[in-house]
Amino acid sequence: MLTVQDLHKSYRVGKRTYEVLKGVSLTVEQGQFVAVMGPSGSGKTTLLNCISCYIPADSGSILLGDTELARLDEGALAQVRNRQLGFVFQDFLLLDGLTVRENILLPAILGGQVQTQTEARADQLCDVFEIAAIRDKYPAEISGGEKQRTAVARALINQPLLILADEPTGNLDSRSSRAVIAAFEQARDVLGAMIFMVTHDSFAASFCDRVVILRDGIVWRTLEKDGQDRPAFQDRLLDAIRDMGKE
Amino acid sequence: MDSFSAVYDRLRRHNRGRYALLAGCCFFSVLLITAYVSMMRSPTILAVLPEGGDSRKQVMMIFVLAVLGCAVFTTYAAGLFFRQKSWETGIFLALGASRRQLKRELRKELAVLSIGACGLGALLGAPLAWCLWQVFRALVVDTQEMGLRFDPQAMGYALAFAVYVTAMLFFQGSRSVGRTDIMDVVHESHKSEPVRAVPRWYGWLGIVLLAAGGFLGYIVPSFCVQVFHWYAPGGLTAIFYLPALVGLYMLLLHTVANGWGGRRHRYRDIISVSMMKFQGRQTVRNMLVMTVLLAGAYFASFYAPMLGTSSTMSIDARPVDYAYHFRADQDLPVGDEVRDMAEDYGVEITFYVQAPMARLGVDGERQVETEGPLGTTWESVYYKLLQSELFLSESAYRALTGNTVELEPGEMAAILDATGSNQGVFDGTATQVTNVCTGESWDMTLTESLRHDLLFGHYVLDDADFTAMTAGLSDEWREEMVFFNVRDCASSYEFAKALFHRIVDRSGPEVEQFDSWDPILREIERKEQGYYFLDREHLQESGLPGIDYEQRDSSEFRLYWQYMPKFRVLDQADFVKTMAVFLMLFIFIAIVCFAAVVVIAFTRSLTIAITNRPVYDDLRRMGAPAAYLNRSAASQVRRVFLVPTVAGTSLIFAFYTMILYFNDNRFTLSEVLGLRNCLALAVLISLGLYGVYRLTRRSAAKILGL
Repeated sequence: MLTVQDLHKSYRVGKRTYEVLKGVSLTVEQGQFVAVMGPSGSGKTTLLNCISCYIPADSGSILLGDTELARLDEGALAQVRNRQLGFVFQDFLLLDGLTVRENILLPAILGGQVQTQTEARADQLCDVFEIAAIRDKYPAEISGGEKQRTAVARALINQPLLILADEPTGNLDSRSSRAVIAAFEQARDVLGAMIFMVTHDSFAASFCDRVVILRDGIVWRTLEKDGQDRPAFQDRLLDAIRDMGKE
Repeated sequence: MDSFSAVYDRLRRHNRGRYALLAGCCFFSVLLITAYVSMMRSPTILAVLPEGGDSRKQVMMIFVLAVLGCAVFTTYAAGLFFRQKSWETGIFLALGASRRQLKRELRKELAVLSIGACGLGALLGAPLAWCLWQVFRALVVDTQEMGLRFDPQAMGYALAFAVYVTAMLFFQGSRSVGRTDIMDVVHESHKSEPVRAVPRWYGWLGIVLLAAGGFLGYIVPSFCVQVFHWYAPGGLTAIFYLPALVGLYMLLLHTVANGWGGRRHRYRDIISVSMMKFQGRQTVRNMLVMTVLLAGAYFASFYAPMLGTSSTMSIDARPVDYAYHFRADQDLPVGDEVRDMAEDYGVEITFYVQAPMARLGVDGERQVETEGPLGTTWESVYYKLLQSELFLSESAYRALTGNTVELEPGEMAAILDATGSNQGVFDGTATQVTNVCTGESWDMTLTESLRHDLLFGHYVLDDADFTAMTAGLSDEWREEMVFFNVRDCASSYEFAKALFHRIVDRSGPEVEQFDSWDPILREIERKEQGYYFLDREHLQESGLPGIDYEQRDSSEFRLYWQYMPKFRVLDQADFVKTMAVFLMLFIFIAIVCFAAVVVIAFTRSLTIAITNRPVYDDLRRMGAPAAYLNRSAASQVRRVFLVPTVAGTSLIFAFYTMILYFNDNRFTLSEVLGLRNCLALAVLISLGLYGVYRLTRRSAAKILGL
């Protein structure tokens, strides 16, 4: 389980300090797919980066299972990132000098755990995400959708506990977006992984079990799907966003 | 591929261009510095450049500029490399690589890169200097003292620079991995570096600071000497040049950020101006380095035209073709012997005159120096008998020059050069004259100075005074001056050479002395310090060139022998040979600095092209016509070349003009003509740089697919 408790984060630009997160608390249960929505500047990406420990929080706690991430030293944190977390970024963050398959294998290579079954798993992920035909191509030679599916496959290679995704469908067409969401659903259903996705896209968010809406650095509202069908849940999301605009 | 090392290796191969650029920059910088220092510390060069002399100071000053330039250049290249590399570094960190893991790989490749590039540069620096020198010897001039020898200790300087480059690479590498915000690391490579809003007054303030710094830096050392009687350490007075550097930076910043052209083509140039603006600090720093190096290169390349012009003019302006003097105790060729020799060489002597001179003691003030913690201070001490000068009688002066001078008993006249200058070496203010053999002294009154290039630095006495004052002088205190003309001077080279050799062959060891060696000052120094620094046995330890009859064709001998004859045809024909080491050294320095400028401009322009390639792709997609894209790309490359070229050239001209003026608070004709020749040279070099600009523009266009 991921537990975020009273998280604060501010940035300093020149002499001014901007408080971006003002005490955010939330939880993500094992096997849950959670989206974070909110207008620009509400703190979504900052929240994601703090949970990933890409940027240090000012105060508050982030618990992954029983582990307080902020208390880990550099080496242990790198190990958590490598073994227990998977990342999907809006601009894919693929390395141009490596093929699709090598990019997928990269987290395993960094962790020093490339074995025959890891390679088999990479091939299997290629099949699942329909990128087997391009697995020996380089990122410059494939489409945006293929790049993002490669990034999702990379996030899953080490069978992580928690997948963190920052606007994973932001640069994709609807077909590719659907494939990415399907991949997350599969990771949740098959691996029991937690998925924490930051998005602007109400369509993508409507596939989630829960949607947390941030506004001005605080949790403004949390919507649970509770077995509702997807279109109805999307309508609720849109209503909530409209309400936020009215306030 | 199953290990992190293999991934690193693959990415290195993928980005080999980036590695090649960094390695090339490091290699080039170390190569340049090694070549320069090998030459600067070469015994061949040191033997000719007197210690503490202007030439040696100039060589050192340009070396400091070259070191600073190369240090900034390599630091910039490394910064660019790690900025581009930060994308993959950030991804590795984001995916769970530990910093230790990354540092290990980075250290391995930096070790190979720095040892390879710097090592090769240090290894090839001296051979490069040697090859260039041999090219000079083969194509321009070759003299016996041009045999190039290297001092192994020079490698110490080169190694120190290589160590700096290596340490800087490791420091920057370690810093690039050590940052805490991983997303910052990832996005570092995409960040532009905007120049913060630059007020328009930066341009004018920059010019004011530049002028003030240049003026202060030049004038403060003399001010300290004259007003405070203090030879301030060079490092301290160099601080006064700092406003010039700050001013130059502000000037370039304004030029890059605002431009000087007003808002006339605001929209036409919007793409190129904004791109250039967002390359920011790096562009300005590069331009600063290029400007400083260009200024150094021009300073070195002006040496030959300035020296050539002034020497040619002064040789041409001599009132007679042949002049030499010698001590009366020396058995040198004169009169009929010279005429017979001339006849043997088919040379007709049209005018011949020989007149006696005498070496008498004079009073004067001497700077007595005291070493202190803040440098050397001095105080002026009056000596009734300070040094010796050569004196002529009125009639001898008339015989030699054809001019009459009327002096009353008790009067004497100092002889300045033909332009009325004391050349900073002869004050001509003696008021008491002493016959050192009899010990008798006379108080004298100075009248208006006379002017003559070949008798510069001597005094003229009333005939009766001359007879009285020189009575009892032994031959070693008496001299003879010989002037003569020949019918066709230009074709008398062989005669001139033979006469010069005969004069040297017949001169005794007692006159094998350095130019400013003085028998009276010698006694004072020996009494006060125990030795005289101009005695032959102390010349080397005093950092001065040696004087040796066996080396009569060397620059050292011809420039510094006290009794060196002045034969117009010999000096004209052998000018390049005599000055060979000086000329070639400064040409070498100019070539090295210009090469550095070209490499930096080329690298920077291509980097801008590589960085902006996606923008040009977008512009093309938006339908921008090829002509527009070409103009925009050319504008950026042009700015990289044009701004430093204009700034560096103007800067050095202004500085050079100031130096020439403050030499004697006026411009002489030879200085004006020298500046004209320097201008012609600058035009030629600028044309060469324009050629490089065209080549670079073509390469940039190729990268941008234009």
